[in-house]
Amino acid sequence: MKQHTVRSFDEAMQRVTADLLRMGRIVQDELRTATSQLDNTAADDVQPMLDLEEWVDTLNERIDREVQQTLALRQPVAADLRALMSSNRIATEMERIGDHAKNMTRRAAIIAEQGVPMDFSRVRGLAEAVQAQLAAILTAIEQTDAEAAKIIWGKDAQIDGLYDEAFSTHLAEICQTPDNAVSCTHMLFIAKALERIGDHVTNMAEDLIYWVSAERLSKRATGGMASQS
Amino acid sequence: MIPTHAIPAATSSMAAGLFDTQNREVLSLADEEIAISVQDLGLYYGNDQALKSVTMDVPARRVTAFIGPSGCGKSTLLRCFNRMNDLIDIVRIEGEINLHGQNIYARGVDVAELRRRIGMVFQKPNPFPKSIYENVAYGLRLQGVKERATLDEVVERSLKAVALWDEVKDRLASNAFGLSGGQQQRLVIARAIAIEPEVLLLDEPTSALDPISTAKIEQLIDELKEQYTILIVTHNMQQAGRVSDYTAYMYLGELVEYADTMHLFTNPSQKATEDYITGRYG
Amino acid sequence: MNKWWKSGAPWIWLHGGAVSISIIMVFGLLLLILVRGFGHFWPHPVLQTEYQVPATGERMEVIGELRRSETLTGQSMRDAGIPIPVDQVLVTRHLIKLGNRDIAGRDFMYFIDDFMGDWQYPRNVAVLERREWGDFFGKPIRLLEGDQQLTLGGDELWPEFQRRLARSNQMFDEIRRIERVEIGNINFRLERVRLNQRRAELRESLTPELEAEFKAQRQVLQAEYSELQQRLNQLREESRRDAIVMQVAGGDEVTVRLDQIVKAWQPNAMSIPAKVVFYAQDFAGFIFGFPREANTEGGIFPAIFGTVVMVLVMSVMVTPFGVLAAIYLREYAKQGNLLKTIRISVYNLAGVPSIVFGVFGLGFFVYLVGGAIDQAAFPEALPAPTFGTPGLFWASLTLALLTLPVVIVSTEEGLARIPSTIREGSLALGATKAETLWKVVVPLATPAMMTGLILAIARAAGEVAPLMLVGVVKLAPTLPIDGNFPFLHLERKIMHLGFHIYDVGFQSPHAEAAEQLVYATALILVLLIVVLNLTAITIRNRLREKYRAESD
Repeated sequence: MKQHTVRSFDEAMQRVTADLLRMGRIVQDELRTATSQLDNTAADDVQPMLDLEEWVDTLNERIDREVQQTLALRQPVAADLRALMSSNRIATEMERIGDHAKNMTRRAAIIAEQGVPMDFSRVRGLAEAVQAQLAAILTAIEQTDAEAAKIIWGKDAQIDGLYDEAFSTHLAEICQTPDNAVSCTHMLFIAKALERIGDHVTNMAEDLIYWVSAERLSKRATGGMASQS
Repeated sequence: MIPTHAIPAATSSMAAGLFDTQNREVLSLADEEIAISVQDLGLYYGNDQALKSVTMDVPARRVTAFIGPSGCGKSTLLRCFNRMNDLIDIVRIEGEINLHGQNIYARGVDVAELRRRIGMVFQKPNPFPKSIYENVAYGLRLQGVKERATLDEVVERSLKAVALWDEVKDRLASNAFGLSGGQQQRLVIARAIAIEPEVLLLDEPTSALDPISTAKIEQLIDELKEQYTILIVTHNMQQAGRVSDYTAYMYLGELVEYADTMHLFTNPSQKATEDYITGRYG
Repeated sequence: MNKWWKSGAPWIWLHGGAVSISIIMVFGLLLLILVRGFGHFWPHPVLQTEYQVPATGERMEVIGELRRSETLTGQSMRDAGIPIPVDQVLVTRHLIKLGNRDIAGRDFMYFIDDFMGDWQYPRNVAVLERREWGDFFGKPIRLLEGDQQLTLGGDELWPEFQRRLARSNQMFDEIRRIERVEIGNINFRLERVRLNQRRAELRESLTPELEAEFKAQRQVLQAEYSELQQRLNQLREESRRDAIVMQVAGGDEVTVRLDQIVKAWQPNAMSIPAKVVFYAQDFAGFIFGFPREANTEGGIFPAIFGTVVMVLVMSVMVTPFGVLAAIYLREYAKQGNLLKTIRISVYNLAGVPSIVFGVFGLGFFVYLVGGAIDQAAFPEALPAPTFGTPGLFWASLTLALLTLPVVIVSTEEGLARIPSTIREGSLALGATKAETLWKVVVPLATPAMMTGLILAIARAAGEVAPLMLVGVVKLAPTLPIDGNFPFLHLERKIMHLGFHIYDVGFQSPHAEAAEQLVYATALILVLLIVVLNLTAITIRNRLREKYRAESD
């Protein structure tokens, strides 16, 4: 896109985008950390996640303020307006992803406390799929690539499929071995968190598409209802 | 707040470049070097009081904008800074304006000299009926500069500073009236900075211009504030938001609110200011 | 109909009609002057006919140029005692220029159509324009050289005459040149010697040596003078050599010396191209020639020259004066009641009848100021006045005074139109008021000043009344510019086209002969004003172009 005549406007826009990408990377780290710690988590392993979470909050706040300032002082319109609004929403989605990742770590720690070895393979498969989606959307954001975003958006059904498998597997496990009910329940919540992360990635894809082409793909996904149907 | 404790291993790879770029600065008048200090300034047109006890500090090398409805006295105040109001017979002024500690309304101040230190750009582009070159060189010639080399250099530097050099370098000798409105206004700014003033007063500099020219001037203001203390009067509130670091809201000759622009535009402390900037005026 | 009224169409027609009438009047006037003025130089055919004088019944031969014809009622003719048949209602009367004023006594006569014979246009009738006594009509018979008659064939007579006329004219020009330039120059120098001597006397510094020197100078000049005089006599003698014998109406033979003739032509024998060439030469002679015969013959060059010089001197005086006054009134003076009074007074000066300016110029400039200048600077010439008498300078000054309001008003308006932002722009750069004024404001106001000057020139060139009092005369012996230092002689009297028209038209003894000359002179005056104005307008437009967009 061409530069703004007033360069400080460009700079403000670039600051928002750069912060957004940074935030994405940190969230990515959170998810990666949470995934890698699934089967061997100590309670104090939560601390690095909290640090990352603080970074995310700082960046989110910064993006929020920058967007507000730019809206107040520069009255952006058209592409600039969409970029700012979408950035703000994407930042919120990322922040939620961070929350879910932190949640995963907490639940993994509880599972570890139970001392019962669990089969994480299904959840890990789901986590890997979600991670791939997140990495893809971050690249798409960096390149403001709406086509890539559409592909990502289309892949949400796969995530839902993987979630359904994990859900039914662990639900059956509860029925078979009621002793493991606590761990399994937490396992279900981890799967649910991953599914929610997938939804947030989908929302980010929608926001990116709107940012680039002003096209609204569908109503926002409202929280895993698709999987229950 | 940026966390101080150890960055997790996973993020350390990219931590280095993470927070190196600064956010928009948070400004505060308390931290600024003050260029002009206005003390209890009052101005009367005959018996009508146009400015009422205005007191404010103008920070150096920042853009300070004056906004407010028509007749609020913002232009009158601006014209006090280079004593342009002296031209009107019936004007009476009380109070002080101190430029780096020296009262410009003190006895014995050379007004011409003062105006060389405080340049002014007007609402309507007002190039002189001369060539582009002579327009920029006008101020220097007034000071008796005759050396061609000096003039050439200053003209080129000034025109470059306003990003007009590339557009006019092949027709410096042609009449300035041949330029477009936006070019004329940038020429007038070049003319003002050619004599290297300390302060630039801009009286609605873009109100006669189209949006593209306006944007160019705004970009120019952004660049010029590195060197000059800039005061700008504008009818266009959004422009104040775009270009200024500090904004003063005036109403009926009074300074209602004066704060950093970010603050004033997102969270004004006076109800009157909020009503005005949100369009609930009158 | 009602709708038509409401549509506003009647108003448009009314306005259109007013404009049309104005245009028709202006162009009608110009056309009249153009036709009459330019017609003067065309070689009209010369007719020959028989006429029976109604009163006495005697027959006479008529040779002349038809000037105009008019139709009268038979009754008025019968009342005048002319025997017109009772049943004839209308009578045509012709005004014919007979020329030969010296022989016949009158050079214009009315002839009644009914008593005239057939009109013929014999090819050999010649018109001679003479230096005195007006035109001469007749048929050339033979040429004389001294007392000797030249034997020439019928076809050779006229060309030979023209050759000899050319020689005679060449000599005449030489005589004129010597008289005007060389003798004029000597007279000027003699006068200066006399004045130098007189000045020395007045200062009581006249030593015998000095006196001897003056005497020597005078002798040298006088020697030069007598030499020239001798040469002149010789030339005059030679130019008297030839003469032509012409047969005039009625059959008498008249001898005309060639040095009396300016030019000669046979209009009935001329082809159209020949007439055109003749016309051009005649016109040029009119513009560049000097007047003769109480201004009724010859050219009007001194009048054109005088008018132009006077207008130029006036422009030089009125412009700086008016501009400075306007700048003071507009830029410096404190606006108040006093200024208002002054301004009204200045504006009203434009409404004062111009003859009042003439009286004022004569009383104040000529007698008071001029007298004082003479006392102070030219005491040696007294009692003969130098500046204490009407002259070019006073005429120009009076006109400058007359046109001053116009220049002031225009300049003031021009200054008022300059946007204040331009002034402020200059002041904001640290310029003083004077710097702003002279570097920015005044240059922008120059088109308006030129407008003022244009109006001033138009008015000044057309004024006559005041000039009669302060420096314009019917016949000035010298031009105001010549080769003698200081080249421009402001104290000299001048001729003026406007006054020339008045003089030729109404003060000349030969009103009939001068009529066409009046039109021609009027035409030149109009053209001159047009040229002066166009020049000024061109300059103004160039200035305007330069300061486009901000001035007016």
